[in-house]
Amino acid sequence: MLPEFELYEPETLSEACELKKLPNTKIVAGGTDIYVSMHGGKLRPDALVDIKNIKELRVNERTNDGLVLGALTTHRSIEEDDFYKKNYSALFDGCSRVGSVQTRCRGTLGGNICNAVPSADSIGPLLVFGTVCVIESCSGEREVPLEEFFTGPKKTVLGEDEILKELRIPAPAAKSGSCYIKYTRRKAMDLALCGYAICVSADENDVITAARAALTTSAPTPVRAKNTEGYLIGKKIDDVDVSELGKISSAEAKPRTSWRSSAEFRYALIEELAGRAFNNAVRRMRGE
Amino acid sequence: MSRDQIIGESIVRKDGRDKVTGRARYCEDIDLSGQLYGAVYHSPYAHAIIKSIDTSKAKAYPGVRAVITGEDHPIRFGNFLRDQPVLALGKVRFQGEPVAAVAADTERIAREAARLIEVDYEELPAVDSIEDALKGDVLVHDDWDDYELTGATHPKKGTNIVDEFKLIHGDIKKGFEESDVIVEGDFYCSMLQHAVMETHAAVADAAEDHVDVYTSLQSPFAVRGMIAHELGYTFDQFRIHCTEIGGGFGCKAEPKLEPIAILLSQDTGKPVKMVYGRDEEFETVTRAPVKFHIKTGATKDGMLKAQQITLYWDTGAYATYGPRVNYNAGFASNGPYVIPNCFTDGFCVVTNHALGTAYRGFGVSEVCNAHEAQMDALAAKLDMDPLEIRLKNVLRDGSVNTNGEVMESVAVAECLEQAAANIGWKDKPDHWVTPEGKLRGKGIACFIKLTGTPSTTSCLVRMNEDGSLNIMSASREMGQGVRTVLPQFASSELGIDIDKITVSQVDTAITPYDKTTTSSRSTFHAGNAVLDACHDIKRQLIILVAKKWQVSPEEVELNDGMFTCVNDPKKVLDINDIAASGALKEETPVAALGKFGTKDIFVPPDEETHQTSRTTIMWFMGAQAAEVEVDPKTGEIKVIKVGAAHDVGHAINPVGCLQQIEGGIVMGLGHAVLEEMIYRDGDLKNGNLVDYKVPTFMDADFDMDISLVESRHPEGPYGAKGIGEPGTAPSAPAIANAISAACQHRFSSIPVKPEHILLHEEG
Repeated sequence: MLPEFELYEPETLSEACELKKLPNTKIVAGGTDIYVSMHGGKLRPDALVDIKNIKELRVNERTNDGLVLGALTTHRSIEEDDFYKKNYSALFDGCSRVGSVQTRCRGTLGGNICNAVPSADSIGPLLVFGTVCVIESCSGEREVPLEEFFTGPKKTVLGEDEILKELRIPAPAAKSGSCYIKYTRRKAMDLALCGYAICVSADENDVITAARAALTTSAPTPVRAKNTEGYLIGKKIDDVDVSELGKISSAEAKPRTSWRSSAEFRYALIEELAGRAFNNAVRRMRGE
Repeated sequence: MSRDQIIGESIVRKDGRDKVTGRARYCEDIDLSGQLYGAVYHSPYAHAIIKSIDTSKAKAYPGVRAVITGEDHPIRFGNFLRDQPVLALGKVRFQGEPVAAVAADTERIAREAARLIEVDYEELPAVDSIEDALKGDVLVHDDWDDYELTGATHPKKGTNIVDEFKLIHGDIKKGFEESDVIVEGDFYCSMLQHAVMETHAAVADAAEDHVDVYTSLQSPFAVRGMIAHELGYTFDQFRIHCTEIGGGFGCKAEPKLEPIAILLSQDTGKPVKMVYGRDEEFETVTRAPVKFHIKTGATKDGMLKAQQITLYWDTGAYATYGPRVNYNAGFASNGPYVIPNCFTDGFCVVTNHALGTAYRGFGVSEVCNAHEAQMDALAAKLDMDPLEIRLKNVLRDGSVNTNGEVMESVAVAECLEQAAANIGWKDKPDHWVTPEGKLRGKGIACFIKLTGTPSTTSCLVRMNEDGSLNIMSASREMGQGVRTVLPQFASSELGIDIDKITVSQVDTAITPYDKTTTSSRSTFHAGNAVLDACHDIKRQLIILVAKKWQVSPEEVELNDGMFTCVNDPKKVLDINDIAASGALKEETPVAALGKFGTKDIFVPPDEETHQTSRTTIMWFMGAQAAEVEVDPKTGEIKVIKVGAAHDVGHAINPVGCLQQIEGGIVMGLGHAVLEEMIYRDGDLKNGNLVDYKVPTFMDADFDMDISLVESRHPEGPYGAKGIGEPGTAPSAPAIANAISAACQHRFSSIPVKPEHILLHEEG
């Protein structure tokens, strides 16, 4: 049962930023994390600021340069629009595997990012597309690259009056492919035991011109796998040795041993998933 | 549908429409006028002395009407041993144990006030494993003699052992001497959660000399027996109104919130409603984890000679149904095989864990894991086919079971062959590699289980003024289909259309006595009672029709629902027109009591060896086979197909039997590869439905080919046997054996996890 709390439902972002400063107050969008924690008694905020009525947070722009997605974009809206499946495949992979259909209809990209757990399914894909976060506060707006957004498990750079407003996602190069693999024990309603996201672009000679990889549930925060990227850039696709790729990615991870699984198991998984994600991204790039 | 076909026809379950449309009323849907809401304060510690409890802040919280502790109501209960307090007395023995309870104007107030209860604890070292329990340095209960024995359990003074059960058959020493090969192994089954959709709940309205309790319990009379006197009521004063059950599987066989709600209602003079949250549910009741050591001997041609099993159940902090699990599993521990020399020694130990109790199968699925892993190990050692070695050794009509009983109506060989055929066993190697590099393997398992004996039941069958029937039976509908099957029996017996027969909801003040809804017994026991009642109804109706026709009852017959007069072919009456005919008008009502009991056939087993000529009214047997695929690089396990064949005696409602088995297979999949309650230092880490992984529909997306084998039970209603628990008994063992075959590595614990496969280590 939910404990008692004050509920605010502001219509504007500036109002919401002001309310966020109240003591022991949380921002809530879809509520798929916050209400669950409150039901279980783990979280007892004095007030919630429900931002669902703020129209500015529902932006959805597609230009040749890329996307602008409002923080309130739901996982389900990504899953159901073939545009993302085709052009931002990894994002489709991630959003379509969040929780259940019900949670995907409620849960938002902004919530997934701000909850800042290492297993969040949209974050790895957003990292490999070079996403920039636009943050609004009482004193204005600032931009932070997503990879600099997280400061620790469940911790972000957001200040006391700051709210994530939207995501700017650059368009991948014409010849690109991406993939996110969510490794779970169960086929639905599960958290990633390990997540691997990758996006590669190549020129007409199949030389990799850009590569981004990201690891989730493999370190205290979602992280870019820069050594992996360095290994790939400049190589011909057919020259990539997936077992070496796996070893490089695995060496970049810092998983921990918990009751969910041992670090050793996660290292082994990353080593395997890296090659699978890369191969799948290349297949998609080639339209196979 | 023609009346003579009603037995064996697939009928749409009578409770289905209400349940899928949301009309069905569960306990949480009950609200009584003027009710208060109750909440429980649970122990955060696994083991601690309660030095003092300060309830003053909770009592002072606005809207609170009562706060109670164990000291206010020192009441203990227990089906086998009266060891369990309603609210902790002096000590807490598991994390989550109810310590105090609050009644308040709203649920929120009750829960907030429960948080304000302050308890001064002195923490004690926790008995955190079976090994700790056996070591006995710390005792969970100081002295078993402090408690009254209420059933068959055998606590050992000065230890944490609350029960020991032995099954001794033949001469174990001689058996191993006569064996050419011996295989020895260990097995472990994890602690499980019943994971029912509906959490425990109760609404109680207590007066001084009577009480009404609304609850979804599966065994209302057994619960009345356990707590009515303790709470100050005779049985006639203690009325349980049953609601629909949102999942039982054994977890609703004992009192949980009922006594607490009654005490709060007694204290406040108002009705009190209590509903557990999922977090509370997780620490309420579990399937006990169990450890086996098992040694099996056979001749070089694969004939079993000897089997020795030692097993330890971690039944949690109080005895609950643990001794019964030990008993039932003990009788099933050798599987459905002829083994001339056996020695099973089963121990039920108490620990500072959540309570292990009845769970679909009463330990049989667990022992099946152990004996079926052994059969595969033996087959491997002898280079025999796992199916062949089983067929060589299984019980057949006239075989002597390991409890000394001569068996009848045995079709386990047929079940094994059919289950194997359902996955194409003979066309597949034991293990192979797919072109994609995935490992495939096949596995098979069979089981035996008894139904609790002796036990009794009764029912009332009442004809209404319009000729329709009500059946009042306390066999609770909990998915097994009893509310559909009992009308089928009555319809077949009397010829009344099944649409005009309803099983009434259970109410202990009105419904005749039934021992429990457990042990897969309802179709068999309640079915026999309904047939008994219907014979009487038939007799009463013949008298009424004879009276109407002005002939003697000897001249009237009732066959296939038609009354006929032997001396006048023009006199014909359809039983479905009996009300319209006026035959019932102003006559004394037509009603009959039906009874069935098994005390007279039961031959009490020898106390030491448990050998007897008749242990149970009914044995269940069946088999399942599985094909699985394992990804050797990620450890992912995918079930490709499960084939099942169960001897149901006579499938009264075949679709219901298939549903029971399908559900059982999915449940078994959870046991085999997903489910476990994980404790670290006495602290439950995964007490929620994300981290405790029950299979979803997407995980259950594999082929199932299920066969119903029908070897009639001579004493069953129309030859029927039970199928409630059996559906899940061999599922996990068959899947685990298939995984072991695929990986060419014998896993000795469930769930088998990807991590175990990748790292070849088991947790």
